[in-house]
Amino acid sequence: MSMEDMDTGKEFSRRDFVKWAGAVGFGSMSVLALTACGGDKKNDASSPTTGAEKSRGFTSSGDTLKVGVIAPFSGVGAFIGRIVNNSLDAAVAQINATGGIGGRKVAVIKRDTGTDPAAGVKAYQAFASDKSVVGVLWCGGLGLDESRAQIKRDNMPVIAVFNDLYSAGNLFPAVQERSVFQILMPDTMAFDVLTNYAKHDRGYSKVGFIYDSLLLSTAKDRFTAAANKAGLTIAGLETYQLNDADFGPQVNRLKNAKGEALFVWGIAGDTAGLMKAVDKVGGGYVDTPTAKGGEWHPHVLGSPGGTGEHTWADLAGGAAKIGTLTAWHVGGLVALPSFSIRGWMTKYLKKNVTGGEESPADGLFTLVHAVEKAGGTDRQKMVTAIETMGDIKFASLPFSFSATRHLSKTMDDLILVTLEKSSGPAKTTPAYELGTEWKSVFPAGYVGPTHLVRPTLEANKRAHPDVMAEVLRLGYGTQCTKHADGTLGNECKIH
Amino acid sequence: MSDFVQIVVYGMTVGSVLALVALGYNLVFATSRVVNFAQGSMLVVGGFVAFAFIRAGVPLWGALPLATLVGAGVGVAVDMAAIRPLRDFDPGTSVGWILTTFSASLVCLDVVKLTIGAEPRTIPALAESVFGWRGSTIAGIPVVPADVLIVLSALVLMVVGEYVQRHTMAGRALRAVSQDRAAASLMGINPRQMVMASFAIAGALGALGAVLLAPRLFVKFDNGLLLGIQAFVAAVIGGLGSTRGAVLGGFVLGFVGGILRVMSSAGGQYEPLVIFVVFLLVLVVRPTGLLGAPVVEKA
Repeated sequence: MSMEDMDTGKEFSRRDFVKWAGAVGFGSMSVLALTACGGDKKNDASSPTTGAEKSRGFTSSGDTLKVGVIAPFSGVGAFIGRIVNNSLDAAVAQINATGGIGGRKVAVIKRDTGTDPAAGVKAYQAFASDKSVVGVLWCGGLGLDESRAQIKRDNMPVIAVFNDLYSAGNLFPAVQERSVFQILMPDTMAFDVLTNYAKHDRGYSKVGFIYDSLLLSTAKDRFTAAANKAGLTIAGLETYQLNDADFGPQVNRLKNAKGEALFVWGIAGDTAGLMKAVDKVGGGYVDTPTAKGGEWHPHVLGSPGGTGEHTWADLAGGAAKIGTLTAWHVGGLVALPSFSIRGWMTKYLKKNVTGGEESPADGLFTLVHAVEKAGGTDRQKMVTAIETMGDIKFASLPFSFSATRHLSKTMDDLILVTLEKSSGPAKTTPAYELGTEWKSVFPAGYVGPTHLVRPTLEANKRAHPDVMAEVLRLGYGTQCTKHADGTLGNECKIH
Repeated sequence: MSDFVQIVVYGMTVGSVLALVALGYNLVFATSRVVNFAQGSMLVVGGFVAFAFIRAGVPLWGALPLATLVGAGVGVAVDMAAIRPLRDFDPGTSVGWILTTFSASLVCLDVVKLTIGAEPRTIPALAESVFGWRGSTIAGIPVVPADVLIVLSALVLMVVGEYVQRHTMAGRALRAVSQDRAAASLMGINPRQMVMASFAIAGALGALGAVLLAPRLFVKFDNGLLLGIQAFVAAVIGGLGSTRGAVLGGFVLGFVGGILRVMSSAGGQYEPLVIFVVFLLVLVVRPTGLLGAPVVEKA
């Protein structure tokens, strides 16, 4: 089976969390590594890229523009691979159906990293030595950190789609790799928007934190910095390990510390297990006044890869409480009619969007559009083209890079998403209604996160006035509490 | 007091989770001297098959035996695909079984992925209440029927396994094959059938374990790899081939994890380090594991 045929994993998330594999040292023995080695052998060859290969015109790369894709299509990160497959299949179909780029077809070459960082390095080396590959989409696959020095030497255009270099201080101009750009919303921004909401909107002062120390080892420092900046007191700092079977000791300490909110940083399955453990000790979230009361009922704020998708709620059942929050970005509102990716997936793949599909598609278009703008596949010219091409509009929102900003996201792009259930909104005073998408997009019985409009509305309007006007006009997202004059207030106790 | 109860609850439940998986490793090793690296996948197969039956409308108590049967069938298939084609081999010197059992594991996972799906799932707990008891709090630590069921299952399976191996003809035949395959053949025992039977039982155990573990760990692909490796370590610490050893090894890991987590909020981070120190110490002091029997080389 070729890697192009791989279609693995289903649920939605978007973090470079599979770094755990390197930490636990499975790489050399894992069967998943065997899968990773099962790709197209002609592309597995590792050879240094020569200067001659770096400078190429349109004519040398044939009739098709090829983009390399490095992602986990197997192993615990396989659900990322599923999103990447859907996104790129739809995007490639759309580009080619509308005439391609400069009359040339676009194709992607997918390589699986599994849980082995060496597989990512090897895949990159194969792409770098393949003259027909114009750039690389790094979609959560391992090996990006290890490849940075070679990327710098090659000057290969790379889009970090689901890898967070920015939060670690490893994105240009902080480091020298000028050919690398990031689309992923950084963790640091997610922490900032969540801690600010907890402190200034909900009025919490004491917050607990529990994170997967194997998967997201840097989360503690980032959370601590954000909490301090927001003026929050930390009430309990706990760790767990990927796939832990019991959270009792940690939950017991968090309960005794009595934080009004609880930040949970991990992936969906563990988040669900943890929420069941919180519920087991009677700590389920009710609303803000209860969270601030004497008993422990913390308002849960989770990581985008944990509570940012529906799987955790499906698994946790009744322990997944309405009002659980996480950070997201405006471009991720894939249900909006004006965002193209939803229509493409329906048209070409007969599939519904689940979220996250906008990012690989946008990364792909950035690279092929850069070829067009640069007038060829010269890597240096492509990098300059990406820096200077201005707003790029493809799968969802317009975005841009510049010579001094290789991150497409800004704080004004961030939104909050809150868990809702199609069984109806929580009973609050005043009451609120679920947004339009619950009638027109989501299937019956759906449980999942939805845009919480009010808290970030002003910032989002600054960045994307047209999109936010569409959100308000069509009634998308949770808009409690909506006043008679159309403004939104925070009287709704659960949000 | 609260800390002590917490350690006991953590150690017993997590230890039993690992023991349930480790029992499968041990059973196959006992008869074939092969470590079945597809055992973790049995957990995934069993869990997803149980989920598929429940999704199709079969009640949980019906889905459990059906999934167990399918698990047994998959175990047999693994034996036929991964072990039999190697013919007569010495597992100590010919290590082709490592690759074949890994490969069988991959095939099992892909078949589940293509037929049932790869999305994590949940299935109901086998027991939400026992005679009206829905859970208690001991020194502030909650205990629910599903936890008790996991612990009881591990202990009951250990006792039944021990009894069958020691006091039934079939069990004696399994042990005979384990001790001396050639001599067992001369006594009229078909070693291949015994090995196949052990794979079948291990597959069934995987399905049973998956259903029991679902309230805590759900039904997901990660369980196969992550629990599979932890359970393998538990089996080696307890003594590969020993039923009691599997449970003891699980409890050792469970209690180590519980103590570390109760001692410190960062305790879990040190668990792999401590566990592998324990692992090495056990292997240095008792190379066959805590309860493993030394292999006697026949002249």
